[in-house]
Amino acid sequence: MVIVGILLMILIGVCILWKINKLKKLEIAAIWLLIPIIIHDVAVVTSNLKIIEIAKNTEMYLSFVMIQILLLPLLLILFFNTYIDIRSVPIRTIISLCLVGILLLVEYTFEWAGIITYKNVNLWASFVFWLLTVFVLSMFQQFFLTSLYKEV
Amino acid sequence: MFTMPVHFDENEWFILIVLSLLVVVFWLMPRKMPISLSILIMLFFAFLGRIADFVLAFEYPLNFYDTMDTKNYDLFDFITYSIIYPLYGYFFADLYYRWNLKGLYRIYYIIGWIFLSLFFEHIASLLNVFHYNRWNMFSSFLAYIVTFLIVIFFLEQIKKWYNREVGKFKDV
Repeated sequence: MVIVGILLMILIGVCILWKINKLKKLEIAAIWLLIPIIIHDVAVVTSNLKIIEIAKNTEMYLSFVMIQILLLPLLLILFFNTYIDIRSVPIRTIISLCLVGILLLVEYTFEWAGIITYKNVNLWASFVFWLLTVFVLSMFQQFFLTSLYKEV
Repeated sequence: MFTMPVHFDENEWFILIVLSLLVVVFWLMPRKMPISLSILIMLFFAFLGRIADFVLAFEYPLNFYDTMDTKNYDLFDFITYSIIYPLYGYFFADLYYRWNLKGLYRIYYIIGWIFLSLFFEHIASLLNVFHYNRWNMFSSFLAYIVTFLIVIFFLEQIKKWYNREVGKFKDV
């Protein structure tokens, strides 16, 4: 059931992205590839440290892989689509904080569903992680876009 | 953080030597590929290596092989995924675009890289970088066929997008 829910969320996300996308395909590819790299390294390192445990159950494990390579990148790319036209720094900050809130909610939903199990994590650690991730991705997107425009 | 090597021996030295060689060649090689495409290709190989090993080598469900000294993700795994695989992929893509291969030559090129990868993997496994549990070189051969086909598809796709969105990609 969990995997069906995740597939459904991915499908809805793709449909929304299809409708609202303003990003270049190359930009989407770059952001899409970077997110699983970050999530993978953090998941494996926290798993090494026994902070989180990834469920040893085929359905949950596949769900985790799908979240890592499809759902979270999709969510963040949808965010960058709302972000792209906004120039005001305070509004960008508010939107970023809202996204961090959504990502926290998503993360705790996965914990509730049993995909990951927390051993020694508090809300603040997750908050800092997502905040840093959003920040790093925003910087990367700017850098990538700049390098693209230089080539035009 | 990352697990550190249990013993600093042949596998760590192998990684460091390969890393140094790749970095030197990358430094010396004239760069003709656009930066954005280079970034995308390196990201793609960093992504592919991590996901493939996460699915095939993680302690659950398959655990076909282990890498380096421990079952954990160690510092040298991180170096391999973050620098060695991306640079290896970069050279594959650079020569692929540079030579602009068509037809049978493209197939020979892929076969050449599959055997080159098998050769490096064999040396790496002799030096304890890989420890096979339920894996062998034939499995790697099949995995490389699939991997390089995915990579070629990706290279063609991003070239098409580059032509459409940036508009001046020429075969380097």
